[in-house]
Amino acid sequence: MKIAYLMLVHKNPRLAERALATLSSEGCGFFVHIDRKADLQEFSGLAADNVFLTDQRIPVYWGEYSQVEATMLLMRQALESSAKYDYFVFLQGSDYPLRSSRYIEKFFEENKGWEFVSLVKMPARGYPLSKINKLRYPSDKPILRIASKTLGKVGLAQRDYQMYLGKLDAYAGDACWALSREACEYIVAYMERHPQVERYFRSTFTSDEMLVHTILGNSPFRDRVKRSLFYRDWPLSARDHPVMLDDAHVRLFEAQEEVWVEDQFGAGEALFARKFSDDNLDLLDRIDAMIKRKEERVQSHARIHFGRTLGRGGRNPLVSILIPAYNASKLLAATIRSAIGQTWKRKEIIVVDDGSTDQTLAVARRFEPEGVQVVSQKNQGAAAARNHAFQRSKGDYIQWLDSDDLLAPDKIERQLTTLREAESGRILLSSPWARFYYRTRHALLFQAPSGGTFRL
Amino acid sequence: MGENLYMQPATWLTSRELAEAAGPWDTRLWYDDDGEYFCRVLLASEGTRFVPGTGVFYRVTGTNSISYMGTSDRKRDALLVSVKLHIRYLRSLEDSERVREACLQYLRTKCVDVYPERPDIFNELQRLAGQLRGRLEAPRLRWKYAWMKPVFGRKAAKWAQVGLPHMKTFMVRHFDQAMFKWEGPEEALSHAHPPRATPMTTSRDHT
Repeated sequence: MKIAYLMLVHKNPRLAERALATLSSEGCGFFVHIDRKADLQEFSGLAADNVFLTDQRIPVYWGEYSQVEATMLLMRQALESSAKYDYFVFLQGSDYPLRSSRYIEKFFEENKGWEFVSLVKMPARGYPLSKINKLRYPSDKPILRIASKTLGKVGLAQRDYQMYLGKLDAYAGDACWALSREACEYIVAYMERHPQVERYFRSTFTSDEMLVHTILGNSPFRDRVKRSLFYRDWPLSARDHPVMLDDAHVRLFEAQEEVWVEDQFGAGEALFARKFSDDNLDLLDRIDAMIKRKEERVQSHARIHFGRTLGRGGRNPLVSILIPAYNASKLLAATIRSAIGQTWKRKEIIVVDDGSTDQTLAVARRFEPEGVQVVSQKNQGAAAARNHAFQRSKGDYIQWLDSDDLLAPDKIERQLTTLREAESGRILLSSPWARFYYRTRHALLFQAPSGGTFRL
Repeated sequence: MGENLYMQPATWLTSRELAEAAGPWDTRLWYDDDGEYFCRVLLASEGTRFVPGTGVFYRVTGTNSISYMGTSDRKRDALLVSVKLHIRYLRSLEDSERVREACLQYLRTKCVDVYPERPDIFNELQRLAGQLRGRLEAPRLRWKYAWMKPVFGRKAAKWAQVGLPHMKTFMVRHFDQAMFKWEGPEEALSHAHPPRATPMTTSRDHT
């Protein structure tokens, strides 16, 4: 797996050097754009065999098209390189990895075919249409910059994007992404074919949060998008920028085996974090130590669990769904159907009738043609019925299910797909739940602000 | 109990290795058997991973549910066993001031179920609290029902505290059932989770 890192830097040379050192590996390359306003000398420490600086240097201003221009410069250069990179990760000068280069490469290998970019169709929470409609005239001249900014502030610089972009739906998201080679080629080709898109975004404020997103959002890649791989802390109180990470954030990273993030763009693992600076390099020492510790754990688990990954079932474990039932004739059918309807294909379903006095046994037997195993015992209580079911089961994983509850169709699949090959067979998986009476459409699944793996 | 304190048992997915390490379900427990079981599973695990974006629907049923205490003496006896086991497991993990305080808080939430019906169990819970270097007061009625105590007596007030929410649940449940029948069956819970991006190639091993 060959990864090209596209880096935009303008300050924090020490941080950039350290990020490069941590991420550097045999197959990867670093394409770096240094802001024309910055002193090139300060970044002399970046020089290495796999680091390529752009010849052209653009003065980059926050929120303006110059940022996109520099990024596209890097993307084109990386695509043209003779080393055919598989993934392109866009980093800014304040980013730092949370995992080792080996882990990151493996991650992309396992997730090949997905695009990692936080993407939402506008208008959405935090992304009103006025964002894409706002005109911001880019210029090097301070007076023009101030005039353009002021016009935008008082709301006199609005236009209708559809007049310029036609049928394109507007998408927005974060300016941090990791895209496949195919997606990057698509973006570059699209911009060449549609010069009006570049013209429009050139005079749009924060186009770095919309251009790539709008192109991908309207492309076949839309169906292969997962949230970005970046951790950022952007509380409501911090308006324009995410906050600088501190000791508390690092402790949070340390406490989780995989740093899990979840927001309006979806949930997933964070491999990078934004933002640090040259002023808090001591945090990087701790992150480096954490990366090393986690890497050692991954390696040692790989040794211990080699050959019996994901429990006994390898990459495709068998799951036993065990249902004890006592006088549950009215509700049991819906429960069994939710078990049969699981998108995880390798499963067995065992219903133990605990000596019911109603039609429970008959209801369960109706599902036997669909592969459901039904056994009966004299009434001994739910715990005994569950033990009975467990003794008969052959699964590598056990789903305990009471006779009146329901599983969402992808519950087991989603949980199992988070497991990694090298991971311990003793990771306990959990998910949200919600109360309901009969109609589940009114039941809202409780969503935790973040997931991750926690140890007692 | 708040959503963040209680995890519905079906939310867990347990590997066989973990289930074998935790041991079988305790058949003595006619109440809170799941709480005690998953306590052991947690202790035997090497970490818990929360997987959002999907989940489990927990049906609120009436008085035939195993978690409905009602007037059952057998369930109250089981409650005591379960409480003792919970505290033992938790203290085996860490025996510190904060853990003892958490155990005391746990006892306080449980004594509502046995006071005043079973003074023997309540005394036993008080003794447990003493071992934790704390005290367990007789539970107070919630403010909504406390006014009934001087008027109708404690028994009636406790009955109201337990019975009225059940009556409310009963009515809401039947209303929901009627609406369920009227609206027809739901579409395979498809609304329960957001649409998922599907991989483009079908040959790719999705596991």
